Amino acid sequence: MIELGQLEAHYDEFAKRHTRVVAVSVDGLDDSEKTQQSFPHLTVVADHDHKLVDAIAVLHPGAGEHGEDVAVPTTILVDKYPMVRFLFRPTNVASRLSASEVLAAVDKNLAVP
Amino acid sequence: MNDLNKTTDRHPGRSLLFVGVFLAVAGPFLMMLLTFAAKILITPWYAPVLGTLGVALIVLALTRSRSIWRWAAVVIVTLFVAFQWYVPLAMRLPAYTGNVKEGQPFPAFATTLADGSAFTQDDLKGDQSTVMVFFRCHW
Repeated sequence: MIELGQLEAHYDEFAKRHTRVVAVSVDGLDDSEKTQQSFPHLTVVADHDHKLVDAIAVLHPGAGEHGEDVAVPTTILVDKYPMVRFLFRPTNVASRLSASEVLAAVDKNLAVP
Repeated sequence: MNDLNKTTDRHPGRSLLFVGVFLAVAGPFLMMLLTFAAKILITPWYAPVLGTLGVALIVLALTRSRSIWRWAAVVIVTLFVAFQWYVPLAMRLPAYTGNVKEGQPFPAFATTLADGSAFTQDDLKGDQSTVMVFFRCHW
């Protein structure tokens, strides 16, 4: 949850850029509600039916700590039309974009001309 | 001074041994420091690299003076460093091959928010852009 904590801490920076952060996992509603309470400025999606992760092929079957399905760590920037402007897939499970790197990607790919 | 030289001669290469062991364990500590204190999430390649350097120093120490303890240090530290190489290699992710493409519309979907309400691609339209972050964690 370190990644979400960083994004939550930079909430105002995203708001200045008219950008919201949507955090998606395949957790059920109960777990997702806990996540939402922990990170109130993020929009938390409970994709327990895998409808979103299957639609864009970011499910990692059996890769969870106890062999459960999990979402592959991925960051996607979508503009308001909604067109995809940027996709980041780390090469390693332990690697993530920092909040500063996400903000830089927003500035580069979603800047209003 | 002579006493110091005698002590050093009695344990040739001991400082190499100590530095080697230090480097072998420094990587995991550095990883915990970066992850939990600095909140920096990067692939910890520095750990096995430091560990490998540590093994080299311990082997060098072994060439200076052979003892059962130094042999044991070589074996134990090498196994530990091998594990440090295994972890990031085993945690590699495949490249993305899905249908999300830059410059293309976000694919249609219909899922739920944490409060149970609906969330679809239409909710991505409006006056805000969206950073969509997929994460693994379960509580």
